[in-house]
Amino acid sequence: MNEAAVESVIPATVDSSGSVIEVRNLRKSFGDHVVLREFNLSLKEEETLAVLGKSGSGKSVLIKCIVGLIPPDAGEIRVLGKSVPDLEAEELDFLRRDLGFLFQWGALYDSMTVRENLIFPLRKHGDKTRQQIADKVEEVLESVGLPDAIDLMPAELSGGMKKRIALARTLMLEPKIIFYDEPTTGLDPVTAKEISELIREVQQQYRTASIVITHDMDCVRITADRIILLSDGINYAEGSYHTLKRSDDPEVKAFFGNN
Amino acid sequence: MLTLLPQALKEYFITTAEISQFARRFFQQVFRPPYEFEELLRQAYRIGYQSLPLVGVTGFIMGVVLTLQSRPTLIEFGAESWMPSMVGISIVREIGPVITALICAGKVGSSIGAELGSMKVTEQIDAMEVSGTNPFKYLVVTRVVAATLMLPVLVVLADSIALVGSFLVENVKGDVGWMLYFNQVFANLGFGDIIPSIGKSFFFGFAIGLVGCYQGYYSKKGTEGVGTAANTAVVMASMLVFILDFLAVLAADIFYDL
Repeated sequence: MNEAAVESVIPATVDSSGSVIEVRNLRKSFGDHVVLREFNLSLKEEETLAVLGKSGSGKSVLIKCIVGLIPPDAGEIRVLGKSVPDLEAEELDFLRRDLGFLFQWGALYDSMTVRENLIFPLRKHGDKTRQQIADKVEEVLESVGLPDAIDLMPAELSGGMKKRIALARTLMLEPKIIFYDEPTTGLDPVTAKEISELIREVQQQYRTASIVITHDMDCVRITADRIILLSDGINYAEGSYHTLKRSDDPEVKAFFGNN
Repeated sequence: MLTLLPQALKEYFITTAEISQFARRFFQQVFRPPYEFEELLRQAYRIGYQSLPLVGVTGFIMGVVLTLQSRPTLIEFGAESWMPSMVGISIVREIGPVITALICAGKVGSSIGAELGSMKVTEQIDAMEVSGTNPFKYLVVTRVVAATLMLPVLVVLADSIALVGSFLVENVKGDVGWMLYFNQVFANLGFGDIIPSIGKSFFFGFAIGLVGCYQGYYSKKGTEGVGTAANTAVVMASMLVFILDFLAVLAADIFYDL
């Protein structure tokens, strides 16, 4: 077993409840607009949680609060046993070493090649040799099925390829938790299904816990172990795909009705 | 009290306060490790080296035009021999630094504003932060330091090329030799001309880098925000160049007794 594989099976730091993420009574407003009110969430090791909700319901705000990109107004956020709002900048940077974030449009650095994009997260955290980094780049590109894209610029990649490379970049630091922000948005149905399947494969290969923010029901069906429906800033409904599919609630049916 | 002010005035005060905060954050972070030397060199190359052709051509034309237009008047007053000194002092003290700074406000300020604005809109800055890199240090500190250090270099080069342009006109029209021309230029140029000129160029570079970064870093969502960031960066930086120049001339007047 190589070093990467050994590291990937080290369990994430869990708190007393056995969760890698605990969110309690989270509140966030922008001016008078309340986005999240008393939102609760917990994520277990190696679990994949999908957060469903209409556009503008606060799904992206939720995960940005969890990783410390947006400060919450109130509530508790614990990630790998650490209270995120209470962390100093350096401590937060250290915690983020264990977190991967796939942004909605990939957020690849335009001015860098695919190789430079992949190496970038290792600048501050890496204690690897040049050869180990090259091997890691090769490994993650193989994992996402794009070994030949290494010297391309982001502008030369299609939408699906950008998502794959962005996922490869999150894998460079072997994160314990990966956040996916609308991973299939803007893709055709075939590519969207491929990306959803890739997310599932990555979860199994790297044994990560994940939160997938989406309103693509195929993506939810393929990737999620558990689902939370976020509506009006609260956990409107929660359960497995099959449980929620049988629900009679009109708002839940609006998502699951045609699936 | 703020609510009683007209909207435009309120925005002016808010922007001034935000830029001051941005500058304070820059000074808090610029001396604190880790240092991003590689990115600093890359930005120095982009801001300095890649601005050379534009600055060089402008400097040359500046020297040629100033000499061609001043010549008939000086001849009329029989003061043709004062041409090298007059052009030298004008260019080194004022025209060289200000024109070079305005060119850089356009080229560098807009490029930084658009680049950071586009990175902001496409969440690249957030991606950098999540990956554990301090984006302010990596993107803002490096660009502001590079602009501050590169502008004086560009000003010296623009001054030199402008003087060469002026010499060529004098050589063709008045048959003045290289040695005679530059002896005349440097006979009347002192430290009191050169030091304030170079000194204020550092401030011009700082203002251009800071305003470009501020506009890009806080640009609003959407492609319109990127365009606005680039445009506002140029307008604000140009305005700041004139204000700083005015203050620098006042200061030089006090210290060097012009």
